[in-house]
Amino acid sequence: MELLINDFISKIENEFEDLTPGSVKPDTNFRNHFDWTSVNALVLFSMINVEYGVTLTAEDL
Amino acid sequence: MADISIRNTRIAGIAACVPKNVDRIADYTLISESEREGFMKTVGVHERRMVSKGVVTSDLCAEAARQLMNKLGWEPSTINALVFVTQTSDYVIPSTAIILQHRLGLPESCMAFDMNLGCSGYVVGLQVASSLVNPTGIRRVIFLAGDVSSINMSYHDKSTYPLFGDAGSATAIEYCEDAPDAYFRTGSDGKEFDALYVKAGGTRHMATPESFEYKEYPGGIRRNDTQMILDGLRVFNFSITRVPVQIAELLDQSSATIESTDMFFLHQANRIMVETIRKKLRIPPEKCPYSIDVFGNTSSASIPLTMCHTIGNNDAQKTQNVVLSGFGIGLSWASARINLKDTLVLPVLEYHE
Repeated sequence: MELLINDFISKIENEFEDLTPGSVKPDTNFRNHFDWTSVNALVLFSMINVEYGVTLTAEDL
Repeated sequence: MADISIRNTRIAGIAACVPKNVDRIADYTLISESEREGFMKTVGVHERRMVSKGVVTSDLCAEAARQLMNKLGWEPSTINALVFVTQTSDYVIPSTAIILQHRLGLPESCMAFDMNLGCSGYVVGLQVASSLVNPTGIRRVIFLAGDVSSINMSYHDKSTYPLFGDAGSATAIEYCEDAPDAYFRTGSDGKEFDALYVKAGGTRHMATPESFEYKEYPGGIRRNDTQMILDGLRVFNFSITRVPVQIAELLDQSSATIESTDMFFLHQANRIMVETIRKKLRIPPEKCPYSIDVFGNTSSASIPLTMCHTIGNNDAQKTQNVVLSGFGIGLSWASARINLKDTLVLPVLEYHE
């Protein structure tokens, strides 16, 4: 499970230039962690869908 | 989903026409500089073309049609049908296609009608227009598709205003006995209609003075009921879920593969949406060209515009087996696999007022 979380965090950090590698932790509230916009939501949704086959909704955020 | 194949028709030519006026996202100061940069990088629009007051979709499409017919040597008198896909018609009624019959000098025997579709409109319209063709009656069809979406947007709505651009297109279709088969798949989901729509102005909600009053919405958005509403996440999830499945089924239906397809022309909805679809299908980047960076989301014109932008007047013969996919408003989605052998694809035209 730890490997999966770390892999997930790594993929998130790859998507957002504003994130310093290693700055995101499993318990990080990412919406408070950087400049969160609806465009960023699309980036996150896209990565999760392509990498994990999961479709998130606005409610899931 | 409908499993459709069409025989004995060929696409003789494709043209697209855009306004001269360039509007740059860098100048959209309603949002911060960092928001503009994020938008340009993720959504992919850097600039787009917007019509001047008084110029409408039919003007752009008529110009594309005239130039295409001229290049093909098609006399107006030989056209048997005109199909016009748009959501920005000249008038509520009658069909703008009939007005265009007169403007283009087509014969009075010509069938002419509008189809009210947007993002999926080029593919659905292409299928309908192609299905009209037969050896004894309708042998030549002019199919027009486009929108001036800029007139339906609120400047104060950052979810729509910077996304869309204006464009029109013309496609010439004719009977051809030994033409390769064309394959189509379509889908409709009216349950989700309100993910992307204009509320007032139809008969469900007649336009009143109150329809034009601006209201405040979350995120600092201001718009009135005659302007487009876009639920970006709902449309995004719909597209990345439905479209890859449909394209995969289309390839199976047409006994084709990603490898045997030369190019995938996907509706230029927004860059990250298209990239997600491309990655899910494992389409190589070089097979998935874009025009959204310079023209924005141009509704039903986005597929032909991207074709003209990418292969207009050159290399068309190297791009023969192509997949087209349009998806969005409705919600509606449609994909096609067609052959462009001997198709004349013009470079993008500019409208001169």
